[in-house]
Amino acid sequence: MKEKKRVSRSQREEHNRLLGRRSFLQLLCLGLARQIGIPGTAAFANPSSIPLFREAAEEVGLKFHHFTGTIGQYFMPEIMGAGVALFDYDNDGDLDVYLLQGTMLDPTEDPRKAKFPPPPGWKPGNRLFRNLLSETGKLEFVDVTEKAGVGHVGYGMGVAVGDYDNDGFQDLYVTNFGHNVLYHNNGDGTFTDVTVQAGVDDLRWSTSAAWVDYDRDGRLDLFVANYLDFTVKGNKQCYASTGERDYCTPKMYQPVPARLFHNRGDGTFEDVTESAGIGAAIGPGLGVVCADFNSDGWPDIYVANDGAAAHLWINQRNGTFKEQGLLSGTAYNAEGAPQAGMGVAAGDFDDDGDEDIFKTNLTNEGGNLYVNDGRANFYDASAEFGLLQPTVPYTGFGTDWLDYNNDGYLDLFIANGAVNRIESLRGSPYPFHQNNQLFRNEGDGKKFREMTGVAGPALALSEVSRGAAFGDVNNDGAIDVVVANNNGPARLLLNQTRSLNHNHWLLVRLEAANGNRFAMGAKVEVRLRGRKLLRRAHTDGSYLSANDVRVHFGLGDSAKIEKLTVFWPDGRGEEWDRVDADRMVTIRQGTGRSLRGPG
Amino acid sequence: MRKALCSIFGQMLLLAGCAVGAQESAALPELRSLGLDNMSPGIREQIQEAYREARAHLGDDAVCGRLGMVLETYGLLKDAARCYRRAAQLAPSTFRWAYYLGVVEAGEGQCDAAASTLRLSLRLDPNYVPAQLRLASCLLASADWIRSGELYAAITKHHPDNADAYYGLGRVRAAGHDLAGAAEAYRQACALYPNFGAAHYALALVYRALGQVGQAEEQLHLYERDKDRAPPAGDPLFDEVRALNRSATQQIQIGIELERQGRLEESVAAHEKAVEIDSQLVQAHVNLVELYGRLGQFEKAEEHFRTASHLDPGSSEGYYNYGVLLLSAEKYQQAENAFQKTIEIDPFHAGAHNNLGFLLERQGRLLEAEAEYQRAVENKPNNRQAHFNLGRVLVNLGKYEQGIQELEKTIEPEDEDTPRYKYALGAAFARSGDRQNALRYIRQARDGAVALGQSGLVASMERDLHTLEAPRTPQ
Repeated sequence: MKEKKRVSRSQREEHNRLLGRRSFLQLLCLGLARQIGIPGTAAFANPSSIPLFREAAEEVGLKFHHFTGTIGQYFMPEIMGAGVALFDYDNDGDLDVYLLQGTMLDPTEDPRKAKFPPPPGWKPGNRLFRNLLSETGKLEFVDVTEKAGVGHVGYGMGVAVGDYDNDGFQDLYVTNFGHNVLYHNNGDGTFTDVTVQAGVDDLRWSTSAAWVDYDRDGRLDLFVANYLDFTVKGNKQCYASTGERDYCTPKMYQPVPARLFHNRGDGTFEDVTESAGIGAAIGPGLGVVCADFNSDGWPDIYVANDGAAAHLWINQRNGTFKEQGLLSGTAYNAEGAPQAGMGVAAGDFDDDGDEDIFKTNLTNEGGNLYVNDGRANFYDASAEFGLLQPTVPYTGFGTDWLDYNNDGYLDLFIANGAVNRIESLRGSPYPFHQNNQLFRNEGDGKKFREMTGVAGPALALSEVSRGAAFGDVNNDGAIDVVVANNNGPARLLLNQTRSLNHNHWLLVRLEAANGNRFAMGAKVEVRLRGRKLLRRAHTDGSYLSANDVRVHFGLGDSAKIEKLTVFWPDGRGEEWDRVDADRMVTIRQGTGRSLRGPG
Repeated sequence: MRKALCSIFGQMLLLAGCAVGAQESAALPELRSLGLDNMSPGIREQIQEAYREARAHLGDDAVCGRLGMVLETYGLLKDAARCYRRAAQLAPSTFRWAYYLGVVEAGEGQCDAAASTLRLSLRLDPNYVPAQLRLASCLLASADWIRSGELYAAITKHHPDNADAYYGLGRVRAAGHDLAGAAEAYRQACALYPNFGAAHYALALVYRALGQVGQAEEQLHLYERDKDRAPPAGDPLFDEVRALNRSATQQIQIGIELERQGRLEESVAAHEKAVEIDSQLVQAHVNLVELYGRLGQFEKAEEHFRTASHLDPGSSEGYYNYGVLLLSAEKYQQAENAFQKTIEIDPFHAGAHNNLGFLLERQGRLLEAEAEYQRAVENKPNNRQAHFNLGRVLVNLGKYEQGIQELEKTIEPEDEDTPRYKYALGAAFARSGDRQNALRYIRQARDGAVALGQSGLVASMERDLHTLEAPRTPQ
């Protein structure tokens, strides 16, 4: 359906400004309250002069402009992409950036004929930017696409990062509107397109993908969400409620099935979509996140479907999955209505030891916060935690839980941008832009507090954001965000909160012993002062994007961790005592104290 | 009972009084001119006319409010709110402007503002139940459980037949983790309106939380049946806004809803109205191909297909609907062409691949049919019919193992088609020489068919069973 109700930009900006002032005062009071009353968190310092995030993409050489190739025909793929990955492709200890690019949907057309032609100096195809931080000590990116051989020119959508051949180097799976691409990381700064021999291509319109070792054999398998049977030839004409031409809703097309590829371990994959049960339910898939939702030690898969019931694929521990979205309470919102699911995030925001889900949706729907009881029974608590009303005016895409202020509580970032024209932006050349949002977790079951208005100019940017990748780009212990904008520049939101507080942190790189080298899916638990913080090693989630695989903990004012436990993907558990904070550590399986029994 | 309701509203109106004062002192919002250039002509004229009226009678709340209503019906909410705000200031004692403003504010996610405005409206008309419900819903969305719960409870006391209020009360109780109380309220909502999809869903989740899985599943089943159904809003003021919508797309939406309810002729009428408003609207013609086809009006269906394909030669849905129509009319060659064309436009169209497979199969082109069925299955792995067709053609090609694998995918879930699918599976086993499994599945199929009263199918199965059960002649 069309976005039925539009939100005025000016009204929203006014609201945010007001909110900003109000929140600023509250922030001061809250900082004081935390200083005197709440253990585990250091107070804010000088919040007035330093923004929470600073936009620095161009400054550090991350020059990328997304091109949609629109010629005014309202082809759906134009408005849906694209994504971004944060990963350390050369294992030099810092995060590099891979950005997905669009092209002309009709390859015979000249890009200069596009309604929004590419800027001067623009290069076609996806781009890989190498981070020079480890080498020079300075955060700076250089475009190494050609050398690396990852500049696929297609209609780029998403990217998934995982080391599928366990050679210690992370590989890339790129989804497109059109053929997908698997890039094998050769470990020498170059990649090889191995799509055909690996057998993981898909011609359908693929969106988010995720690497997941669903059968726990130590080899990463691949889940690919597919969206709609849209074709350029079959483009339909859709209209806004005022009769103006607009992008179609997903209901105008048929959904196409997701695919699950089983890793055979010899560089090839088998399509097990049907035999694994994944073909039993079809939806217009957009966001994907894999986590152990029912706490049985086996990874499950959650898929946000656009305008349809979301799917929760529960791992049956025998190579098959059962779709249990409806009974789990994650298929619909609290009122039993399907929503336009876009991005997804899984994380233990309420510190009760299980994976909760946040899903972004269309304007007027509001986000869904699904709280887990540990057995994959969820309820939609978005109103209870204050995440419903503030998200109603926005169309959300990329999202993830992140502890941006290192206070030990998982906060939330949402990248926004409409897919249908915003009425109040009538007259604007690209009337889809909205600002992104940041919410702070106040902990102890309290409502989230929107920080957008006080986060600084970076969060005041009104753009058409899609993918968002999360990770510590400058290795300062605070999580940064790279935002991939549709028809606009990529943004690097550098976290400034290390200058605002003295909270401690820990960044954990895992090395599993029995395959799945980066231990994707492992759960890491930190105990401090009676609290247990649980995080998951993952690159998936968000929208069309891939995150830093390292596991980040904000520790508040705790300079030392009493106990750190890792539940490895193979089911084994180990623990370590008294780990020092404020550093990056590599934890190798087999070097800790074994826990009894498999996890 | 009534006193209790008044008391709750009284508390709320105290706050509303402040809002009134604030509004009275504020300047009148200006009427903003709108860029209407790209709107469809009928809508543009309607808005322009309402706007002209409002400009001509700047002090008239009715014309200003009507402009707001016109804007609201086309989703121009910010401008609609401005008009309602102006109308409310011009006529502070008129209920509807404050109410409409509250509705728009709530729709935009501004629940604090909406709650305040709706309280104000209820001061003017405390008995308008839709306003009470919207206020309670707004408070619920803001997690103001106490006030929301009080309001819902008051409505149920005053209107014990209001299913929406019981549903809201259930949601408040569920949010407060009073599961037994929530279940009670949801049950009441379902009793008052048995097709209340959302209430069945909510009740299912409460049963699940209470560990009553069987009841939860039962409610989910009811929810699946009624997921799009809810008690009539009973909101004549909002109906007035909706009635102003003259767009063709609105007519299509109405038509789709009527089709969903099985009211095909009325659906046709709504679609024809859409065509009357905008003859270029491809989707209306495409839908009419299907609707007329289902009503057996072949000529009309064909006429709309011609228009649709002229307006948009790339409409895969148009070709597909036309193909289905031709298939039902036994015009096989033309149907084949239509499905080929569908696939040319949309290679992932499972339905077209399946139907094309059927047409090829009936011509004896089994290998080509197999390929088409295979593509149908790839693009819709949960399509039982495609698996059935693929399995059948594989068996006919002598590929028993593969055929049986496909047919095995069709025997679940248990429904009225299951006996037929099990029968086919049994027959495939029989042809492959596996008598034991053949007997097993055909017996299961027969029992199922007997239970469902499918006498024709039972007779056929009995014959086959008789043959299979007969002692085999020694070789």
